[in-house]
Amino acid sequence: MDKNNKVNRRLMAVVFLLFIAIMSVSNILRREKAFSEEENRNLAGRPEFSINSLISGEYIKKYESYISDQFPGRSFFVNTKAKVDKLMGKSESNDVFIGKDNQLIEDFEERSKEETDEKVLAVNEFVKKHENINTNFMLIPTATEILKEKLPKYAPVDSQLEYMKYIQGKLSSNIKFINPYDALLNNKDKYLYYKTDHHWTSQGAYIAYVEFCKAVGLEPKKEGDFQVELVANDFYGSLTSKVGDKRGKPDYINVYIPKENGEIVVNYISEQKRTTSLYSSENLDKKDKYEVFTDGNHPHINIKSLGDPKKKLLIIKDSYANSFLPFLTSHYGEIDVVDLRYYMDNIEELIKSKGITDMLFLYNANTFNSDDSILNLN
Amino acid sequence: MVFSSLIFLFMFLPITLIIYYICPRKFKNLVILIMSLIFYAWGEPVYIFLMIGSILIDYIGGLMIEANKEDSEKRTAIFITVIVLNLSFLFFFKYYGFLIDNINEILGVNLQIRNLPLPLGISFYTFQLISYVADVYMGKVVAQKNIINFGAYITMFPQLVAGPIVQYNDVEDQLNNRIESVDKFGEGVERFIRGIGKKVLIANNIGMIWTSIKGISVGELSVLSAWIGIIAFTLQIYFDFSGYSDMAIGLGKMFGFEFLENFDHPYMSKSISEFWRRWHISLGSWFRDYIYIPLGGNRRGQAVQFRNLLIVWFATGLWHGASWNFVIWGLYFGIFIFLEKLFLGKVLKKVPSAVAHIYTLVLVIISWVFFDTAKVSDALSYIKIMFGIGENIFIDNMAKYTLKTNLIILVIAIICSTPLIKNLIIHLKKKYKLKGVFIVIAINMLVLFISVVYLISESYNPFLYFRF
Repeated sequence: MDKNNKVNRRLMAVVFLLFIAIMSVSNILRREKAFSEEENRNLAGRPEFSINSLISGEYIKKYESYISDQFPGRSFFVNTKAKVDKLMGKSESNDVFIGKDNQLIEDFEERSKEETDEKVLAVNEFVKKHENINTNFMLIPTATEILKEKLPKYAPVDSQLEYMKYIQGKLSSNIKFINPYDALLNNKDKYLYYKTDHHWTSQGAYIAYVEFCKAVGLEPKKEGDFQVELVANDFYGSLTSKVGDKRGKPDYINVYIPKENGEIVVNYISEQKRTTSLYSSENLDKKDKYEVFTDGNHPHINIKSLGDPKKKLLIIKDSYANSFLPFLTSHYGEIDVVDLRYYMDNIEELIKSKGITDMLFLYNANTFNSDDSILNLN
Repeated sequence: MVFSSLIFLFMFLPITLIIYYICPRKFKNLVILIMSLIFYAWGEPVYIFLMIGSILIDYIGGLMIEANKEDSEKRTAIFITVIVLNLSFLFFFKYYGFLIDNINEILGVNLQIRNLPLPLGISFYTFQLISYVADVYMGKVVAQKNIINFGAYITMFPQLVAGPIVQYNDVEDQLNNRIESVDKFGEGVERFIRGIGKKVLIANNIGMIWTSIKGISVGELSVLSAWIGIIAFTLQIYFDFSGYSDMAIGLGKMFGFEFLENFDHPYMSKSISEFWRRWHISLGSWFRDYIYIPLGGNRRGQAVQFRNLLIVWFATGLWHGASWNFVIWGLYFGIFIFLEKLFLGKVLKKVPSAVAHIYTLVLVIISWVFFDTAKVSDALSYIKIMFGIGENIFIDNMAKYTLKTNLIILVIAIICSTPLIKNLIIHLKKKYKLKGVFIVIAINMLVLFISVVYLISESYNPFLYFRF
């Protein structure tokens, strides 16, 4: 027994020192990375030393994030953690629920009524300045609401539907509120939302497009008017990144291309880039394949098409609009798309110079709830 | 720096071990001192000078007390001066704001002060300094002539920032004569791994339960959620704190030191008095040795004893933080300990041990509500909900969901707060001999590995949208 204890301690000492040595040496020998695709952010680099930053504690904080951001084999460790968590029965990670059939679902936690009121007020005041423009506001429920039944049992999630109704009640009467909830819910067995990403699919966007047309009095195109093309079948999106582990099969991406009169000119204003398509296929080789739609988010996109030249639409939007835009081009001669999270120019001037006739706010309930950039409107 | 960090594990620790074991004996304490100062400066680059100043004061004070052996008035004056200096540093940085707040409250004035951040570990090292000068003054030990040895005693990084509070008389000898060995090192490794596992795998994971339940407004809390939340905190604080002590004791062993135990399965206790003999033992001993006994302890009648208990438990509470809820938390224990000394202790011995156990656990669990709720009125309304006083519903989805997703970790935590695992390991080694040893080492390495996995993943922070 005593001999075994000796073996135990000595072997423990040796194994421990070996482990520490291997980890330390590989930490010294690792190569630095500037950007992490999984996390969609720049990784911390070695901080610059100065006495001031040391005293303020800034240096130490930065150095610590530098070491963990650059730790060798980081993605392996993150992946292992996700697996351990799964083993421990956790069904949530980074505010993402792991639902039935490996459907990943973002948490939705309604913010205070005051914060919501402030945002709605910003919209109301902005619209008040432009009474001659037809204004529509479409709020889209995310998978959190439509695929509620796939959430883990008892998951404490607030109701998006109630949130949407609350906003509808607060919007001023000259704004038409479009709620595609019923239409999406009736089709919930179709492929409306990606399983691994927080966006909706082109099909989800199409259903909302039909609702939009009904509300504003346009004749929606039939699904048969589009050629549906499968462009990717190996898409693990943002929610997979949040969970840190690939669960189940990857998503596939369909794009809808109009069979007739599809000619457009897309102008990415701040990037000074011009193309003839709203799809950007080079993004299909990247991790975030949803960027195939309008090449991701941009401060300002201008689209000219063969649609009615007298109708000029301004869309104020989040990323759900990216896959929605292709359905609109045939109805409006010119569309200006503004993403307030990135747009820094004067929106009043844009409206004046373009002669905007129609306006659409397009947000998913989750972004509208969590993001504050709408306050930049006025 | 904290032990459960990549920088400590894979940079500081290996470098310190290499330098320590390369250096000859006479420089080893110097290595400890320098590395400990670096360890401290990493989190506290400014207040390190406060600590160095305090060390110098007590070092010189100790020497002067001893030099004036014959002149009892003078040595008492020196002793008191040093204690006052130590306490005023602690008071200024930890309690000054609290005092001003109370003055404002009572007198209805509005004095403004600049809130200073609390210097890391000041409550711990001040108590070690006091233990030293008090021991010298009472003649329990001779003053340390060597400033390096003395500095090493106070700053020793394993116990510098969160204990255990090592009394000088316990390590005096070890400062000069300690033996490092592979066996002791291996023992230290096991202990360290136990600690990091407790902290990273159990405490950190359970911590999220209490954070989310604490965030719910009182009206929306269900009875079950209230219990789950505070039980989770009960487990979290034990695993956090005792894990830290385990790491400290283990690291001490790696450098040849033997510290006294700080926790001994406190949640197995069958009375509040027993709980405090098993919880944060080094703090309890410190108050016993340097306050309770010098005040006369229990030898001068019940009235004096009651007064002494009040003082000790008021101070114990206040030591944990500059806020009234800590004071109430301390006095709460003081009252039950006094009652147990009066008659309750005898009753608890007679009743079935399960009853005594439940009595202790319920009181301890309630105490944590006071401990972690800044406002006493909030704590009281939380406790009301726990006992179903009010309109709150008994069970809701939040409770069900929390329980469902955390069941495994909660069960593991409860099992690990009993001596079960310890006994299991002894049994494994006895029954399977060498094979058992391999199993135990494999388990240890697995715990260490998964802890590292969690530490690395901590900074994993994916964004939905690219941030410029």
